[in-house]
Amino acid sequence: MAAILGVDDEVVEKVCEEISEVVVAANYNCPGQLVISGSIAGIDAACAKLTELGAKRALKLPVGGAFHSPLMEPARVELEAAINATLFKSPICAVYQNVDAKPQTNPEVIKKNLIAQLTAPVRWTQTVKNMLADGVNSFVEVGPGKVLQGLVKKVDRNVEAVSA
Amino acid sequence: MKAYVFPGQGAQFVGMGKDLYDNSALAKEMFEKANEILGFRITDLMFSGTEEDLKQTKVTQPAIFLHSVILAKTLGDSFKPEAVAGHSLGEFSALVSAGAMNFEDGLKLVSQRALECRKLAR
Repeated sequence: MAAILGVDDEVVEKVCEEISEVVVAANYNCPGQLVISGSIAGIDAACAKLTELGAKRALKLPVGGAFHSPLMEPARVELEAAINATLFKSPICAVYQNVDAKPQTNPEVIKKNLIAQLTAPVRWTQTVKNMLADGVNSFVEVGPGKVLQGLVKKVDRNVEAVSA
Repeated sequence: MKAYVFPGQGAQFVGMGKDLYDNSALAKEMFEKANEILGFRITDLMFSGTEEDLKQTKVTQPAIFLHSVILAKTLGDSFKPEAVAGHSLGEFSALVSAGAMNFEDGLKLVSQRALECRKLAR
């Protein structure tokens, strides 16, 4: 995977489409920050092209896997069986899922979206935008680090974003 | 309106979750249950392992999930989300914290996800 900084999402998408090796937009993190995923040759080719097109940075990430790309299909199939065998209930509030960034409460749809997640992009930018549009005015990050607070602030620098 | 958001891979650091383990009986109980389910002491790697230990996908993904879910649990009644979302792996933490599945099932799925991803590592 590689983080591409300072290029519009559409440009990154187009470059990925034009490369014959496997490489796709994998994490839409915030405006101007998109992570791509795919084969090593695909990532190398996309990074070279995007640098040429004026990307501020094309930074390869040491994550050891092509997450959220078609190369994860075998893992998706294995996980699908496990998710289908797990009991899901209606959550206490809407869950905005990565695959479509929309609020969801139906357990069957939640399962389907969770299965699709491993080979589909994380639509985080759109998730934050949709939450703001739906009335969210305070974000609390639960877990290690402050990465998500930073991403939220890139979408709306005036919104409250804190650690739990 | 308050939203709770849950991080994904990349947020890990050595020492993560140790405060929770030391200061909350509930957190300690959940961490010990996780060690049992996983079949190895992930808490040792989280609290006093090396950066390299934590960077292995099979450790990273459950470690972040556990830190998030247990932290949310210790918030007790003050955890009142009106919306949740999680980044990549964090979606599992969000789903467990919002009650869409239980802690044990969530951990098992995250652990399996990590192992399946590792098979495809290069």
